[in-house]
Amino acid sequence: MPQLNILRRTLVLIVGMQLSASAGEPLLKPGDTVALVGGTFIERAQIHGYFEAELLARASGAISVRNLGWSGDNVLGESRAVFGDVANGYKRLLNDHALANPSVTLLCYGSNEAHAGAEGLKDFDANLRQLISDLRKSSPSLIIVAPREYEYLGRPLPSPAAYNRDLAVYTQRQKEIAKELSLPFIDLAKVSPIKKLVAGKRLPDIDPYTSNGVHLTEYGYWRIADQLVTALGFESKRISLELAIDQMEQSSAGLQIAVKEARTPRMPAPQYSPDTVMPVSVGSITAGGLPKGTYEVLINDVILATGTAKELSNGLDLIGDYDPELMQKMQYEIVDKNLLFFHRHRPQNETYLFLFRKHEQGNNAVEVEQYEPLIEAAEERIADLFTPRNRVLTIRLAK
Amino acid sequence: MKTFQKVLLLTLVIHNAAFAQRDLKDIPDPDPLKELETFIVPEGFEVNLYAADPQIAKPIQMNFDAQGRLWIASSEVYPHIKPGQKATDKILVVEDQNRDGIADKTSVFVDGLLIPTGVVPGDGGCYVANSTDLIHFADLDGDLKSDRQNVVLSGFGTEDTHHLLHTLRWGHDGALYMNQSIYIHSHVETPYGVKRLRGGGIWQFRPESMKLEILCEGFVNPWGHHFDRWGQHFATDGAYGEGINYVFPGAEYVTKPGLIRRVSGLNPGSPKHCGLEIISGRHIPESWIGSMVTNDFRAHRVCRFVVSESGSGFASTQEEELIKTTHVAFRPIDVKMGPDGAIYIADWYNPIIQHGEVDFRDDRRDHLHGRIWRISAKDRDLAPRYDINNMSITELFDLLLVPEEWLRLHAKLALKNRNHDEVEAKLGKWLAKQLSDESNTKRDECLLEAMFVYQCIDRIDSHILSEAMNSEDHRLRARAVRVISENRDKLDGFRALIEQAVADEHERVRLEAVRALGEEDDLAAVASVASALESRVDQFMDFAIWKSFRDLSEVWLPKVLSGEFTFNGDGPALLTALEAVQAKDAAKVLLNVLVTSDLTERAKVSTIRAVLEQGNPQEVSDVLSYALDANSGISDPELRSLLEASIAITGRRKLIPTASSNIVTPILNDTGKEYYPQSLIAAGAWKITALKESITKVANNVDANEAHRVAAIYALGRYGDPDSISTISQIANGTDSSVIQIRIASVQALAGPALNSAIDIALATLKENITSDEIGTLVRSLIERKNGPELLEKRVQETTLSPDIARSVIRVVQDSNLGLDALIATVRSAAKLSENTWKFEPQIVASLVEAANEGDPIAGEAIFRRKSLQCMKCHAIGGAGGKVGPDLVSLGASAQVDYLVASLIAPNDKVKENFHSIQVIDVDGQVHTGIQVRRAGGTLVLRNAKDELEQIAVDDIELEKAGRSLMPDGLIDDLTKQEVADLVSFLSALGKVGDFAVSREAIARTYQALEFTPKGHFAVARSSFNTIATGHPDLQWEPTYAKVNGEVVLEELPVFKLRQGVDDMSFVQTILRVSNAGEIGILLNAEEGVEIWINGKPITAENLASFNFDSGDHVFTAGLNRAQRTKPLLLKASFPSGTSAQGQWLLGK
Repeated sequence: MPQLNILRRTLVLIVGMQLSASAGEPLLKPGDTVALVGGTFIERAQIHGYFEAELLARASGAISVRNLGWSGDNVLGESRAVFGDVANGYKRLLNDHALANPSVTLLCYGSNEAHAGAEGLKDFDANLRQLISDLRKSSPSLIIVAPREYEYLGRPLPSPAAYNRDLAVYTQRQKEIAKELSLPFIDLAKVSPIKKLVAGKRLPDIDPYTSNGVHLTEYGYWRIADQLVTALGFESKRISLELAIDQMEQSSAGLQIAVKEARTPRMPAPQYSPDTVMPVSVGSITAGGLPKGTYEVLINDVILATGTAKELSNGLDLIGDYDPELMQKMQYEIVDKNLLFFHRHRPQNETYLFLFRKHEQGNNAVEVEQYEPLIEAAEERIADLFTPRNRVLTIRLAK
Repeated sequence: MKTFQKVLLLTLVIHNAAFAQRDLKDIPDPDPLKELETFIVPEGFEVNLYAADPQIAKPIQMNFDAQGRLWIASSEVYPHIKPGQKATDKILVVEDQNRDGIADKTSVFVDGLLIPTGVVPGDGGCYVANSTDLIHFADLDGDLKSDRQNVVLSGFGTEDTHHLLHTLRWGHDGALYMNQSIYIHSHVETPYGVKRLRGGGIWQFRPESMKLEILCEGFVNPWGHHFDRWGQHFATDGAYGEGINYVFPGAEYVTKPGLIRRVSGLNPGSPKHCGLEIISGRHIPESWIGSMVTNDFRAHRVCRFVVSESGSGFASTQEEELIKTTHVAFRPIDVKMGPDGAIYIADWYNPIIQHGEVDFRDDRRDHLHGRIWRISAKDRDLAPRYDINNMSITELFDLLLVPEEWLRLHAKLALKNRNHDEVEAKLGKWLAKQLSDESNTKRDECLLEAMFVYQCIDRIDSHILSEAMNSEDHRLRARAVRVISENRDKLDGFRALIEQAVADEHERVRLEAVRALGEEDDLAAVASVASALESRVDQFMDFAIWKSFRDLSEVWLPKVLSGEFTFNGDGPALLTALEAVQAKDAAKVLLNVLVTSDLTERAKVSTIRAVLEQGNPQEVSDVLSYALDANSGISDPELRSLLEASIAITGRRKLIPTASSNIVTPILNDTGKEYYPQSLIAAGAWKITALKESITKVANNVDANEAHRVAAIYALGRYGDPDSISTISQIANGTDSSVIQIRIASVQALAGPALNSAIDIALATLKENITSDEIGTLVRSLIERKNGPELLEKRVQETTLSPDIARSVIRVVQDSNLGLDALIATVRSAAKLSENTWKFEPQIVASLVEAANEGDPIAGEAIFRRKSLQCMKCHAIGGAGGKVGPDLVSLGASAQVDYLVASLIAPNDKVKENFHSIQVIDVDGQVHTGIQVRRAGGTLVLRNAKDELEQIAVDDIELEKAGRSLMPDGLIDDLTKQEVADLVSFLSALGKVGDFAVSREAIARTYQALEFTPKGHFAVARSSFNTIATGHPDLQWEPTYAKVNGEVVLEELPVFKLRQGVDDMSFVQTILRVSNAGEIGILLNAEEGVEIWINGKPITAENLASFNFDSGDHVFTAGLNRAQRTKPLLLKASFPSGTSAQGQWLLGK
């Protein structure tokens, strides 16, 4: 181990690349409550919470997320009708939206509607405009998110070629409406494009995000979280360290420096991701001035990079999950909060609690509001977990 | 809002349940062995505990996997998660590793679920219905712990946690079937678009292609679904009681939203059932194979039904239970055949049924217990076991022919996961070998299974399908049509095969074809559906045709309305189709069909009626002109009823035919026509002014036919103008007012336009000689009018009525059920009925005696049986009846008419010996009155007027004196003279040779009728009729007696209105006391509409013949379907020559 004199300094880890097509300020800001409205794509986003985790990791302050996805839904709120007709579904959609009390709404419709093809476009146009107008009454800020294309996973699943052509027409219409109404517009077909194996001949898509062409797997949600948060204008805030060894302090563990995160860590890829998925780079380090030898770069005893002094002086990727315990907690709390909100706005046994058999269990309906403080408490825990921390970075000779 | 009413109805039933459950305080000891001790199982079977708490808890659904392990969905959170509570529900896997019939290992496969309501192993793990989602949990390393989860489908409703997605089951076709219940509204995204199912139904899902279809819709809470050997589906329902339901594609059941027509269950009047398994395999005795087992969880029974083919569908009868018990916590909810061939029952175990009507947080809700019971046949080999996962493809093919359904299913599911090319190649060879063997008796089964395997691997072989289509076995042909239908996109000759099927000789094959055609989109398919109408159409076929016509309506309706398509001139088919879609603007089309097609008279008549219902004034006019044309070929009686119908329909539709005068005028010139009177009324109804004068003439013409005059008066009433009203009044009050029919007609005609005049005429008429029927017509025409009762009451106050007239009026008013007590009181006082009418005075007695000689004993018996008179409560006839008064069995043969009259008027003057009552005052000052039964051992036993026995200690008697007759004075005061005469006539006929002598034949005459009480209704509604037969503490039985000839009078029996769609029922019991065991024949006067149980065991009415009876009492229970049964009930025992048996029906109270 070479003897080194080090100045103790705290660095703020800053800024990497920016993938977003949008320039300027992110579309969400600390203090916002974001309602996610749509069908199964939105509904299932709450199961693993990747979008929310990435959003909170990159935002420099707390943002609350309320998932109002409902499988099979469309701009009429048709899936939410319970015992009523479509109009009741629409009313329910507006009521639940008001219950979430959002400052911003991510509106993600069109995928179910597109099955109606050209014939349904006119209705979709009118109904979407109506919905936007009604939602803006309780949430002035609205972002339109057009759906991702269906993937083709091979027989016996159907080819989505015709559907995707129809979807493009619906997406184009959403884009026009957004422009007309001056609303931000994100096209998942562009932000999260489908990769085809062979152009021209329809063969299964590579690196599918879905289990059936339509619905995202856990891996798919993990991937799209990054893409969507970027599309919302948030920089990825990867670590970019340029150090000189004299900035570091010598200790028995090696050369150390305290660094403050600009963001909390990104969730690791889920356990059952495709084999081709590589661990994610959290950033890079360039450290000059080290004596010859092979070094390891660590945070929290987790080795994020290994390389020779020369390689380090040229820059190495930092790859790895340096705080798995924290990430587990983060994911648990997000998922738990989502579940609490699910029980709040969409409780089981509605027939008995609120509807025509409430004479039997209506007395238990009070329990539904008891979820409110539980959600509040969960939000506080989440905000705490997503506050960036000070970390100690260590460079030591490889063993 | 039909559905809403149904929901209300259900709610109502459930209230009763809640009421009963609130009373439950005795929570039983949860020891499984104590529960087991209470089980009663059929001869030759035994039950053992397979698994129980704490090993498992709260099982909701269970399914065995290919290794014979039992997967259980278990919920302790049910019915409702608490705020802050973590969902901890589980999927458990239970194994019997040493194969001794008792589970010895349990694995928690998944934890942290929220009320999982279904689990089925498959695809390397299991599918679980969990709240809004269908989730697949995969076990990647075989340690029986889920490693990975994937939400497969989402969007299932959660409006009620016992209705959620449930009853997961693999079909032999490789599809996953799933049920949902009435409150659930599901909106599920698939690659093919959103599938929405609002309400109950059965889903068919293919995970590999993500194809999600709806097999059928409706039901209330269908927690049972299984398939017979030939792939026909059956379902049971945990809330609506029609027993076993036959399920076919597109079928709609009782609760489908917007239901118009529905398919009925096979056992109307059944209790709620949960789970369904069709018995197969070598372990269970042959006679039970094919039986359908389901659970009556409310009445703690595991039930069995035998289902047989019937027309295009099936018929089902209930058989002896597998388990019955009085243990209130035994809640059997699922049933599956196990790998050893035994029958497994999931017991939710709960003293309360845990439905929503008991508070979610009620302490008595059990969250801890649960059992799996195993029913096996004694001394029979268990089913052979196979290592399915390690068998070769060809070995798996051979397994497709074993008797065990479970093995056949898992063989196919295993093949589904093998290489499909290899399976297909080998299947062809295997099948060819099987079919080339001439001695193979399972050729049809081979074809059946080959079709299934092809479905499992998502391929098709048209050769196999046409082989199957040409089989002699219609069951195979029917299955082939289903497969063809589901694979139409892959089959070139699809339509040709369906055309062949729609002309098949068997109804079920045709039904499948009709349903297959419903998914087509061309007129040829419509014509093919119509062709099915040419053969027999039973209820299932009727539904299938109706549904297919509806499904195809976009194809044919516009073409029919534009005149491009006429169903090839097939009027009845066109009518059926129009009816199916409730077409509104089809009158023109129908008229065209009438004119251009060659229809039968019946078809013409129904077409004409449809035009009357739908047509505009011109079309109605045209169709009537067509009908009345001499060339129409419609007979006069039919024309008469058509005219009647047209008056009623146009009245209801407030429509007047355009050329009404042209229709009616020609008829008015021909007074000889059978429908001449109707044409008069029509002229009035349609207010044809030009004809009023001639009609007035008819009404005024005292020489005219009375019926014509009546019609003319009706017609004038329809005109309703002042002139007409005044004409009617003049006629009614005029010189010919003695013609009573004219006056009644006048009252009827005036009741609408001039109610006061009508009442005047009616009251004047009531003062004269008038029959009770005529009084009925008069009074009803007034009280059924708005303000009629009030005005009538006011006018009656100003008049007097003779007692007999008043009695008749009162009876009419009472029968109207309008609740007109004030009117009755007024009538009573107008006739001074408060005083004794029938005084014991010589001239009164004499006049009654005279009348009695002309009386009608049949009417008299009905009067005797009237509840208000309570004759039978005290008097028996031939032993059947009360014992307070003397048995009247031979009264007529021994008593004179004047004696009878006197006894009725003044009971105290003619008390039969030994029927003097005594009055006793005891030391407490309590008065006891009754007939002495006995005085012995220091106790006096009295039979009081209620036919109850009272015991008084002789030492306690303070005072004793002779009492009056227990027959009250004035009992017959409310009877008319004619009624008294009839009653006396009946009494005097008793015992005389003839209809009123009690037969010596062994006819049951003393019965108990099941009284309608809220508790009793609940007991009946929540369990099966079997429970009634086997006895239930909440049932209240009251004596009822047959008529003298042995007939039970249905109209007198309490009626159980169980629920919508179930016919009303009445129940009676009687007892055959056998003193010497042996063969006794049991005869029933008519089979229709009756179910018989002997000692609680159901006997089909057709089978009712001869039985070997042990000595002792045998309880006969009869369930009488009030919609079907028209004849009275009569049960007779016969003793064949040579039998040693002796016995008799119990009599008495």
